[in-house]
Amino acid sequence: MESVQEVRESICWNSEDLFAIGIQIRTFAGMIYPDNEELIQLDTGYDGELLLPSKLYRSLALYQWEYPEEYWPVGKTVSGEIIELILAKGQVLIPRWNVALEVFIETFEGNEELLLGRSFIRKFKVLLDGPGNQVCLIGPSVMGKEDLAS
Amino acid sequence: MTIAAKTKEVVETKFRHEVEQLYGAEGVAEALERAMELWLQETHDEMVARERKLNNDALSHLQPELERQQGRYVVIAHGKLQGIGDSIESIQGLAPDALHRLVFKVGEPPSRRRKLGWRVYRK
Repeated sequence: MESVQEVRESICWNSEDLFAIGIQIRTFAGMIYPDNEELIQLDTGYDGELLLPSKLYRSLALYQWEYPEEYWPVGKTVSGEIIELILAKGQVLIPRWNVALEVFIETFEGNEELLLGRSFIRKFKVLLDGPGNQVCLIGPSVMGKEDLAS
Repeated sequence: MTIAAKTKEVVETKFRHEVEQLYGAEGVAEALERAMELWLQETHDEMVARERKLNNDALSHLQPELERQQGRYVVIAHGKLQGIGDSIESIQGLAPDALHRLVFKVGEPPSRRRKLGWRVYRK
């Protein structure tokens, strides 16, 4: 994958209902989900990078790339529930930009949400175009080189 | 492979009866293989949890050694330090047979507080 410094074009996804961008998730073992890019919601209410459903975390065998329990974050929901999140590392691919980013991946038992959070969004300039029903990543990106993985 | 095990007669009688209905008289091996596969699926999470605990316990004993490896990547599996490298690529092939591994960069503690902007609906 080329480095993001070579990215010049802005890219947009039609996104009528949700603000979402097209990504894939890749483990360091090379497992990829899904087979083609899928629209994943950008959620400013979640301050991590990538939250996965617990079943997907298991099916991608991310427990083989796990961070120690002493690093696992503790989350608090708007309704005050305290949840211990499981933490691993993997990659987010943006196929249309041909880039891969190393990210922290989180889940918790029973979770069914698949979200990109604020720590991910902060790597980009993002346009939420409500009237145009689209979300755009604006190039050139402001991402740091250290965030890239080939 | 042959496995010999003593089972409760009432269970075995019912098992043999139902296997014969489904697969015929020679179907015991096929049914046992399916039963073993199902059991392995069911216990997989339990096995991962067991190895997770083993690896995290091992980490607590390795802390003094890892203090000297700031910025490097570490793999702990089977309850032991498997290797240390300068990139995730350099250590990703270690302990490939482990059900669970700790793979992390020493001295890169992520933020431990998360705001989850929704109500939780667990299943």
